[in-house]
Order: sequence, then structure tokens, then C-alpha cells
Amino acid sequence: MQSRWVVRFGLSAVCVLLCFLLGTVVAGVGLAAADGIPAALPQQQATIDAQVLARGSILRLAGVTVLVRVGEYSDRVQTDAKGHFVLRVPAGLVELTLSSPGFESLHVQHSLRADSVVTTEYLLRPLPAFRRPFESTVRASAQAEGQHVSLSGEELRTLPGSLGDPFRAIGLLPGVATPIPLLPVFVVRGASPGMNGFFLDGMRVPQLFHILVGGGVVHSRLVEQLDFYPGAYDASLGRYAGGIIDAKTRAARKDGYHGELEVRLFDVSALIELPLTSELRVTASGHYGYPGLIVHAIDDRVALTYWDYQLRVDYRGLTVQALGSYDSVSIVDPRLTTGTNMPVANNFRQTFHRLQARYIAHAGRFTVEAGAVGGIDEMTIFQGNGVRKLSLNLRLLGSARFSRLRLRFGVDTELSRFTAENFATEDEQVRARPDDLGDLAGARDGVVASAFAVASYDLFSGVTATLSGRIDLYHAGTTTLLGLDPRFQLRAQLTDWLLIHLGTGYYQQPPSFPVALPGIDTFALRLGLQRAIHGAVGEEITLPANITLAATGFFQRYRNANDVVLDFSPLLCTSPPPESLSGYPAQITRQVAGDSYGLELMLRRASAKNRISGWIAYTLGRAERAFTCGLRPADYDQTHVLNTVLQVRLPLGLMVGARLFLSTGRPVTRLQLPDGSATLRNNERLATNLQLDFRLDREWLFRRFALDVFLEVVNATYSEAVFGLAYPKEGNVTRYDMPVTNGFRWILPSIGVRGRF
Amino acid sequence: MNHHQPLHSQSWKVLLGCGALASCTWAGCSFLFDESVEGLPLQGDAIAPDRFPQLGTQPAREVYLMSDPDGLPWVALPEVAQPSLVFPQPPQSETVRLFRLDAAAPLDGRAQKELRSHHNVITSHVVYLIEPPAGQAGDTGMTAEPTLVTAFSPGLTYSAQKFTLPSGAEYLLPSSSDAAFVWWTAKGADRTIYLVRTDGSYLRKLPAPKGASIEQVRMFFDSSGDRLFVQDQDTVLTVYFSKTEQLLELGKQPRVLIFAPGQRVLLSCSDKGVKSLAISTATEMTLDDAPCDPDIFRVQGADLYYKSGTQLRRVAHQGGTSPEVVLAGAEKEVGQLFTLSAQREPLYSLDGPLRFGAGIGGGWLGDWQLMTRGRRPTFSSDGQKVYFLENAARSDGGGELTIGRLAERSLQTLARNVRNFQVLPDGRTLAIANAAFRGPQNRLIVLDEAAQSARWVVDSARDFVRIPGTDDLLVKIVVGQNGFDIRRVPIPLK
Repeated sequence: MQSRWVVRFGLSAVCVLLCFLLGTVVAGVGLAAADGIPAALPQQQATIDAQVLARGSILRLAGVTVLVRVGEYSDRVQTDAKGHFVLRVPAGLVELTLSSPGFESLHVQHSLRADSVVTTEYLLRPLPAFRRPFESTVRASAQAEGQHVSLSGEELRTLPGSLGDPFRAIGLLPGVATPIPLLPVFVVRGASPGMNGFFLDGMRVPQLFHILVGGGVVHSRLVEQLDFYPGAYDASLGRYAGGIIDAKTRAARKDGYHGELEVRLFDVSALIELPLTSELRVTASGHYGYPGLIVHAIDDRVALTYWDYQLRVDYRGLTVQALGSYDSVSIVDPRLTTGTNMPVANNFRQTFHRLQARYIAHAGRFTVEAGAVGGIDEMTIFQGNGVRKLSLNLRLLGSARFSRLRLRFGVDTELSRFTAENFATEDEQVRARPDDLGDLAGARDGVVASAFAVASYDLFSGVTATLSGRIDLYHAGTTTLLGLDPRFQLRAQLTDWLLIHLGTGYYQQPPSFPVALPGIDTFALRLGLQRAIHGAVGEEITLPANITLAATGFFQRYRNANDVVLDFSPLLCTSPPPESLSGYPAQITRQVAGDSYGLELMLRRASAKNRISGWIAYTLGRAERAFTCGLRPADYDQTHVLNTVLQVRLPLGLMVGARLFLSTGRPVTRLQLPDGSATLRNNERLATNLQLDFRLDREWLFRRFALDVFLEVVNATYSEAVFGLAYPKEGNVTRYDMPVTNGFRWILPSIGVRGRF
Repeated sequence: MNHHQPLHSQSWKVLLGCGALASCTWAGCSFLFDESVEGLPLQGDAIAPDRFPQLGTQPAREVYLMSDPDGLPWVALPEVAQPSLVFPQPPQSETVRLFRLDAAAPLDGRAQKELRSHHNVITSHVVYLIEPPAGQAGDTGMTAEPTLVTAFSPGLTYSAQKFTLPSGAEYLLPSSSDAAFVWWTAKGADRTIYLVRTDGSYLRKLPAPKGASIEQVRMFFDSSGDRLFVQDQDTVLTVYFSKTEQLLELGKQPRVLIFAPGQRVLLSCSDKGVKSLAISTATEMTLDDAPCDPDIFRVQGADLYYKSGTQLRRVAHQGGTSPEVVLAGAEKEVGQLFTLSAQREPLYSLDGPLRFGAGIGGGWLGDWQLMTRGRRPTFSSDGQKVYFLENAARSDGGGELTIGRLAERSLQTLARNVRNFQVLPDGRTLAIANAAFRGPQNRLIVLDEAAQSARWVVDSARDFVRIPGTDDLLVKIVVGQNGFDIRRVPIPLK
């Protein structure tokens, strides 16, 4: 019995060995043929001296495989680092096939005479993203634990309704409500808009958006990835009690020089990428907006300007970035006059500049990141009064990965100086009222210091528990605040198609202005920290056809939250204003307690892999606040929010997209006769919002450059933007019994041309 | 080690540990360390407004203290117009309710009066009830139909003098004594100026002065109401008497004019210097020939204080003395003169009236800056303390009520977001606090600096005024979106 097994094993081994030898020989012959080692090169020869470039750019393609056939003769070469190759081939009808990953193969024929030399160039057409075999760019994975949505690539810039702005895509995601039409004000899981944090390459930036239609403050093509954490994230992200938007920019591509210029009806933008050496790369970009031409056509009293710039230099692990943004709105107010009785303009300006040096080093299982950021923020409200903030931020982050344990830690500090300023120009001189800004404008030095530690442990196969905590200290004037935030997340990849996640934690934030603005932070610390408890549990199911379905239930509890009084009716059943505030902050800020809870659904087909992509995001939610008249809907509570996004890539470089937005109307307070004193807050709702957006992109690839033309129509349904209720006046009688909606119908077409190489 | 290995016992321990730690999530906490001073601690519970009697039943939009011919206190409360569901809307009508406030007011109903008119003007002694012709088209006033004006003087035996005057957008200027008033419809069909004795004893018509609008013409009465001063757009000053047809031509005079005590002399400030003008003789006397800046120009006792260049100067307004430099302003220009101490030490500002507004600025006593963007500095009766509103360059008129003690050169915040205050003779201070904006959080409190504490007077209070001759206050209580309940509240005993 045993000998029979030995014989069988021996025969098998011999067979395997023979097959291996035979296969090796056949393969060797095949490879030799494929490698084009001809038996003999005919005496009549020609030469092809060629350059291979990517169509629509000046990018020389290295490593392109060039297969040549002339009758029975064949040969194969690869382009060198400069995209160049030289082939000596037999004279006659020469067939060339050029192929490279990410590009359509190119077949060309030449009829070559003996001793001729053909100098030419070949242009390979890039494949659309969904047909590429792999992404050449390694995208950064989200650093923090917790349920989140990541957007990257072309999808970020071509979503209908986003005006090409990656950051506006946040408004299309589940858990996000946009209560104020036209404005990129996001309410995430019922938190006040001022509770959301914006990070850009680790820097805290005061704003991500220009005013009104201005779009993002960073060039859209510079944004590589956007991670959106609606809640229950780990302690590496802190000092905010709401959602987090974490954007990452990219370095200049290594493959060659790139540039682009985009012109739209209301702005122009440019970007250039310069890989000066293999290690030294420079990117510069910026916007300049001139929407005033359009706005003037609607109302000649209003002027609007914005611009931004970005510069990024990468050298090995060191990244130096400079960026800044400027917005100005000017409204001529006939009620204000100068000494010459000429109407003066009310100006609102916001500016910030950041300079960051960041160094990342990897050593084995350890990674360390050190960064220093200097900043100038300025914000001017009407009549020239404003505030300036100078800041210096230092941070040190580290991580270490062991077999089942991943540790991350970080410390950072910000030293800041705030001063009240009057930025009015000679033409705007009116009496200054700096104390209208109250605590916002009080001259003060602020100190913020934070530390966090995150430990993620792989409990067993696919199940990771993350425990984290952070401590934050805030000091300004005579007040110091200290917050301790423990947090916990669990992620379980139970099967290939099912991921379960849950998270909870404590999230604290110093007093904040209801909408994030430059120079407005570390103020009114006497109000104490805003506190939130987040809890979320969800699952993500991978379905066939690259479709994922994510469902998340959440509950968040707020205490001492700084809400805004959206309808500016401070008498009506709001919480009492904080006694330690004065001026405008006292008028519009309320400290309230409340809850929000709901369910988020997202059915998504990723764009990178599919000709047809998009998502359906639906949020069923409720946000409540404990006002003086009882528990009422929060000012920006919207029960149903539905965003449907569809993008289809068509032949001829066409891409069409549409977005359908449907949401419950925002609550409003209708005054109860006779004097409004018995009015319950948010006793009615505005009408349901419906908005349909379209976008059409068409790309033409020329030899050295590409041209994109895009047409976008936002709110093609011409729906009304309603901001609240107003009461008409008849003589000296205000008709509280006849409320009318305060709003207007609008449509925003945008057409643009983008040239790039 | 393969981290995808099956579960083993160690992992369960870790899991349990994580669960225990997760429960700590709910133990997040925060700490507040605050060394700032919010003001004197407010003691006791809020006192509801309904504990005090209300004047009238409808919300009023304002409170006007008046006095009758016997000098007894009255209050006029114009009511807030209420929305009406009746269509078509009734003609516009304003209601004013009058209440006598002294303790001896009779209870037979004569101490109250209700007045109705299209609109009204209320002064210290008279309610002017104005009835334009029915259907008059707004401000155009291009109608021959007259406007009926009734000058109502409160009193148990009230007087109501009626006048028939031209129609149009009126300019009604009463004298401070209410002995006379001016009626001018500058853009109406009849541009004549009517100078009227309120008791109906005399009416004279004045020619429209040179100047297209009231903004280009300046008019003011003397305190008796017997003389009306009219300065046309060419700065020519004319005096019209209200009891006779007499007039005085005073020629071209500077725009900046104030009365000297006694009101027989006008003092002027211009780049030609400081001058006095005897009204009866039109005799001019130069008090200081240095250019005068109208940012500071005020009489205090026998002295006239004014700004010249960067200096604050002083001169006797009766003349006979040389000008005296009070503040040299060598390094920084003196911007405003807020007040003077009992020792005639100026409390001044380096901020001009155009920087933050008239009456607002940094405040200095000598080389001590005690105010930052402050307003309403008020010396205590003993002159040892100054009360003022700090950080008051704001639209709501409020600030932090602060006391500056001169001897120690120390400052103390008494209350935040104060919009009105009054120092009582016993040293306590009444203040409307927590009043960053109109709302039920506003409150009237009394601050006792000696006891270093504050007490409630009444909640939801937006403003107050003391009833002359009594220890009571009339307090505006916030109700609804518009208007106030007016309640009579006694000043708490010390």
C-alpha cells in the first residue's frame, strides 16, 4: 500500500517536473518571439525616432510599451524616462502598437522606405477614470476612527449642484441639512453650524467657503480628498462639538508639468504644478471672483469680490504651504451718510492667511508629524468695525503600529492675539461702534492647548476597538476652561460585505459664533464649554455592481450649545441671552440644551469604477431645543432631507449629472395675536424645498492641451428661496395676522471653460 | 503575529476592558476657572412686574412726564397701535392716555384723560393733537384744507386751545416752556412760518427764510418762548418776538451759537474766534480771537469752555478776563469735554465726537484714564466718585456701569449691559441691567456700592423715570413685540 503511494507520488513528481520544463521551454520561446529577437534583420532598414506623450498635455510618457510588426518581423521596446524611443525596423509597412496602463492603446501604420528616418510623436489618449486598471495616485486614507464619508478624485469637482466646489459636496451627504438657501451653511446632525470644524491639511481654517456663490477657498483641483465625519469620531479630532470636515490637498504630480486655467461667468482660477526635481515639487493656484457684475445687474447697491491663493512646496517629508482668502461685500446704505451727506457703503470683509511648515517622518512602525502654522485672520462687519487675530499653532502628532495595536497621539497649542480694529477706508468713515462686537472684539491674548491619545486594538479578525481621549485647555483674559473628552469606537468587518460600526463619546467646544468666521474664536469663555454627547451605530453593506448601502442611527445630546437665533426675534421663546455677552453676540447667541436623533441612509455607487455613478442620501432626523416655552423643534430642524445625485459618463467625452434635493421646510415662528407674547417658538414650517440641478461636461483633447466646457444650472426648477416670515405694514399698523414669506425665486446658471495641460 | 487570528481569551479581557472604559465616555467633564468680575452680586429672586400697579390697560410705546400749570406731575402714554382684523382698515388714529401721578390725585376720574388724534407731539406741558384734513395725501400737503392743531394742557381743569394751520409735512417746534410754538410746512402750499402762543393769545406769520428746507434753516427759542431765533441758509440771524410784531436783525452770525446764562447774550464759536453778542443791541465782543473748534463749546457757571487748536480753553463769558489754557493738548488733541468736577477739573476725552459718536470716548481726569469708550460720566454728589458706562461705543446705547473712585484711582464694574442709571441721594444707584437688547431679560436693579450687593427692583424692565416729588418710578415693562406696560414701582428702601 505504502509502495503504491510512493510510486504514484514519484510519477506525479516526474510529471510536474516535465511539465515545468516543457512550460519553461515554450514560454522561453514565446518570450523570445515576443521580445522580437528576429532571426535576422533585413538589410533594408528604416529608423523611427519618436516621442510619446499623453494627449491633452505636455506629459512625456515613460515605460510605454511599443510593439512593432513588419510582416513576419516584430520587435518590442519601451520608452525611456523622457518618453522617447528609437527603433530600427525593416523598410515596408510598419505597424506600431503603443500601450500603457491608464491609456487607450494606439495603433499606427507607417510605410517606410529603406534608410529613411522618421521623427515623430505619438499621443496616447487617457482612459476615463472608471476604465483605468488602477489609480496611479495613492490616496490618503482617513486618519481618524469613526463613521465617515470620503470623497476624492473627479467626483469632488463635477457633482451637479456643487458649482465645481469640492466642499459644497458636503451638503449632498446624509446627516447634513442646509437650512439657509444659497448659503453653504451646514447643519450636521442637528448641531449649530458654528459647531462644525474645518481642517485643511491639519490646519484649522476659519472658513471653507467664499460668500454666496464664491465656492471653496481652495482651488478645487488641489483638493485630493475630503473626509466628512458627521459625529462619534475619535479624539484625534477635537475642539468641536459637531461634525468635522477634513480636507487634504495634494502635492504637484511627479510625472511632469501641469497647468490649467478656468474661466466662469463669475470667477477665474488657475493652477500650476511644477515638479522641479524628483523631490522638489511646487504647486501654485488661486481664484479671483468678479460676481459683482452679476450681482450689480440684480441690485446695483451691492458689490461683491473674493479671491484666494495657495502655494505648496514639497521636499521629501517637508511640506510648506501658504494660503489665504479674501471676501468683501459692500452694500450702499442710504440711511448712513458722511459729513458730505453722501451715502456710504457698508462693508463686510473677511480675510485669513495661513503659513504652514509640516514635516512627516517614517521610521519603521513609527510615524511622526510636526507642524507649525502662523495665521492672520481679519473680519470686518459693517461700518469698518472688526477684529484681527494673529496666531501661532504648533503641533506634534505621532503614531505607532504594532501587531494588533495602533497608537496615535498628539499635542498642539495655539497662541493668539485678538485686537479690535476699524478697517474703514477714507471713503467709509462713519462713527465706529466697536463695542457692538462685544466680546468678539475685546483685545485679548488667547492660549489653547490640547493633547490626545488614541489606541486601536484588533480584538479579533476584522474587529477593531478604539479608545481615545483628549484634554483641551482654553485661556483668555481671566478665564480658563478645561475639557476632558473620552471617546470610543468599534468597527467590525463581520463578512466581506458587512461592516458594523458604532461610536460614542464626549465632544466639547469653547463658545463659538453661530457661523464660523475669521478672527472669531477664543472669546466669551465665561460661557463655559459647549458640550455634546454623540452616539451612533451603523452598518455598511457591499452590494453587487459596486454599490454600497450604509445605514446609521444617531443620537446627540447638547448642553450649553451656542445656537443662533435665525429669525432675529429674540423675544419669542428663546433661551435668555447669556448675561456676560454684549452687543451683537448677545443678540444672536443663545445657550440652549437639546437633542437630535435620526437615521441616515446612503446608497452609493462610486464614480471611480463605474460609468454610471451617484448616490441617494436620505436623512430622517429631528433636532430639538429646550426653549423657555418648552421643548420645540430647533430653528434648523428638517425632518426629511433627500439628495439624489446621478452622474453618467457618455461617449465623446461627455458627462451629464443631475441632483434632486428635497427637504422639509425649516421651522418658523408665526406671531400669535395680539402682541406675540403667547407665541410658541417654531410653531409652523416653511414650504418643502425642492431643487433640481444639472451639469454637463464635455472634454476635448488636443495635442498639447485639453479643453473642458461645462454648463451647470443650479435650481433649474426656479424654486423659491425662503428665509423666513415677514409682516407687512399698513400705515403704522404691523399686520401680524398677515405673514408673508420672505424670499425670492432664483436660478443660477454657470458656464465655464477650462483649459489644461 | 497574524492579527486576523481567531478570538482567544485575552481578547475577551480586552473587550471587557474596552467596554468598561467606554462607560467612562459618559464621564466627560469640563471645568471653568473664572476670575473676572461680573459686577455686584444680584441677591434675591426676580420680582415679577405684576406685583406693581399698571397705568392703563394697553401697551404704551413711550413715557412722557409732564406737569400741569400747578406744577403737579402727569404722565402721557401714547398707546401702541394694535393690529386690527377689521377691513377696510379704520383711519389712522393715535391714542394718548394722561394720568396724574401725585398722591393727592382725585379718584373721581378727573386725574385721567384719553386723547385721540391722527398723530401727536408731546412735550413737558402740552400734548399737541394734530388732525390733518381727511384723505390728505401723505407729505405733499398740496391742499388748501387746513390742519387742526389742539394744544392740550393737562390739569383737573384742562385747557385745549385749537388752531387752524396750513397742511403738509409739518415742522412743529415748541419752546421749552411750551409758551409758544412754531408751525412750518416748508414743502406745503403755504410756506409761511406760524409763530403761535400756545395759549392762543398771539399768532404771527413770519416770511419763509432763505433756504429750501428745514435742514438749511436753524430755529430756536429762548427758554421763555418769548423770542424765536431764525438763522437762514446765509447765516443771517433774526429774532422774532412771540408776543408782538417786533423783530431784531442780528446780521450774519456763526452757526455755532449758545445762550449765556440769563439769555441776554449769545456766544458764538467760529474760526474767527469766540465772541459774545448782546441780543438787544447787536453789540459784539471778542472773548478770544483764536480760532474756535465747535467740538467743545459749553458754558459752565461763569466760564465758557471751548476748543482751540489742540487746546481746551476757558474764558469768562461776560468778558473782562484773558483766555486761559485748561489743557494744553501738547501730545494729543483734546477731543471732547464730558463734564467738570466740583473743583472745575475737566473730565475730557482725546476722542473727537466723530470717532465713536458725541459723548462717547476714552475719559481722562488729568493723566488718569478712567474710561474706555465710555459715556455718561456723572460725578457723585460728594465729587469723590464718577459713575459711567464703560465700553459704550455701541448701537444699543448701553455699557458696563462702572464706578471710578478718585482718591484711590480705582475702578469697579457694578453691572453689565446697563442702558440707563440714576444715582440716588442715598448713594445707591438704580440701573437697567442685562439689557444688551430689548427683551424680558432686562431688569431694574438697585446697586448698593457700600454693601457691595445688588437687589431686584422689578424684572423685564427696559427703562425707568422717577416721578418728581415722589419716591416712585415709572417703569417700562417689556411685553410682546412692541410697546411696554407702564407700571408704578416704589424705590426699595435701603
